[in-house]
Amino acid sequence: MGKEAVAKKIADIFDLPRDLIANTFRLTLVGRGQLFIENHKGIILYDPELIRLNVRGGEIKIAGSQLQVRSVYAHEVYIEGAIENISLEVRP
Amino acid sequence: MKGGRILGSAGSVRARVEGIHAEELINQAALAGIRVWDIERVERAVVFSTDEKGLKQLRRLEREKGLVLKIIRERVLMVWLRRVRRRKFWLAGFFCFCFALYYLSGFIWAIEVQGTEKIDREELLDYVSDYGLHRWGKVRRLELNAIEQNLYLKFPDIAWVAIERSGTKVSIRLAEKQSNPMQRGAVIDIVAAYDGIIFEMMVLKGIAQVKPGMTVAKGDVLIAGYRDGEQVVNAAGAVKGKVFVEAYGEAAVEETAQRYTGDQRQVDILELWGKKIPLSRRPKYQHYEAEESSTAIFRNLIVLRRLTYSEVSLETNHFSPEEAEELARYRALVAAHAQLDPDAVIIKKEVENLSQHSPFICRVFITAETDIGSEMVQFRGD
Repeated sequence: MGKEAVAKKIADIFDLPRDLIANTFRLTLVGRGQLFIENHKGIILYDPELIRLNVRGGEIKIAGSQLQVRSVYAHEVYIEGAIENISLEVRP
Repeated sequence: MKGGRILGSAGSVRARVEGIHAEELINQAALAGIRVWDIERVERAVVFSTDEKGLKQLRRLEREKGLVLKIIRERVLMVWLRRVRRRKFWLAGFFCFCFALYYLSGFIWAIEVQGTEKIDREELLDYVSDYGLHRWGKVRRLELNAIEQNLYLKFPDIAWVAIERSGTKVSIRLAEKQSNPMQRGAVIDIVAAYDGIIFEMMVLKGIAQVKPGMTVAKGDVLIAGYRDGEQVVNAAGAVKGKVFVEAYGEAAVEETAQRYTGDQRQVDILELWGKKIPLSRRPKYQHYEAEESSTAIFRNLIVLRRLTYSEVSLETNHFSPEEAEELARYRALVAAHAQLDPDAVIIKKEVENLSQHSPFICRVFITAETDIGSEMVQFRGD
């Protein structure tokens, strides 16, 4: 059993949020103008129309217009703009 | 996160970096723990905001990675902080000032006593000084509640006392007990409230001192109360008399009346060793009334004076001679009626014009029947 699977099991047993145990990413979308992403692994592409973020096990693509990284911390990114599409691309 | 950004922006700097991709900068900043926000891509450069600490770390990155970092805009606080660091003596002076302010605020600068009538103010101040409540005493050591309780014990005439501290000033506000004269053997007499002639009298208790038909002056005892051993007999009864009231009224054809506009300004003047230093400008009122209050801070050598200016407008009223005469008559009547009891029965009213030209003067003479007796507490021996 892998490390991630163990963490997932513990989170299920104790009814805990998975992002706390498994260090997985969490997205909070406020309307279509604000997006908070926690536990990211860095920015791959920063463009006003598309932002690509590296996360554990894949990549998040945020498409829209006038997208801007308002602030960035080691584990947290706050994006503002007219968000049109959010997609998750899972890495094999 | 947003709150932190707002706080950070008080001392923020807007910078532009060339020679690095936006993504790389963001990732480097996130890894190094540098706070960056409002990141924008401008052509081949990245424009962002950071704080002073972040700027230092970016300068290091600038040297290591060969970036070109340019500061676009600095917030006032940032510039100020940098300037302050260069001026060591100024900074030392500032801290000395803060320390002196803190140290001096720990002493009592002024003590105010309100409400003393029978109680000797000096005796009271002398007593509270034993508890540390004296000028230049330490304000932080005061136990105000304990002092209040001790004041009640020391001065039995105190009905209520409150000691309050506001900054370096301590206020002792007290109310003295009202003495009841009846407890000290006083009796109630009925005395004349007006000059007049008595025409009717009814004595219920006490000894009549006058008879109907007698002329009395204001303050004369009409019915006297008395003490019979331990028992006090207070005067009771009704005395009716004919009273004569005289009043004058005056009015001119042109009168200037004063009216408050409602605009009010305060001007503070600091008086140092007799030299007056105005702390604010005097208002440019054409007509005003001024009220002054002052607080002595250090043995009358430092005095803070506060002048309250109230703007007034002067209005001139014009009357015809007939109107002015009527106004003088009206004023005389109002003044005469004000002297009488509202239940008085007016028997005769005489109005006389004393002046035929402006200013018109009127005299009103009223004869009325009224209850002229009024109760008064009197002290007398057995």
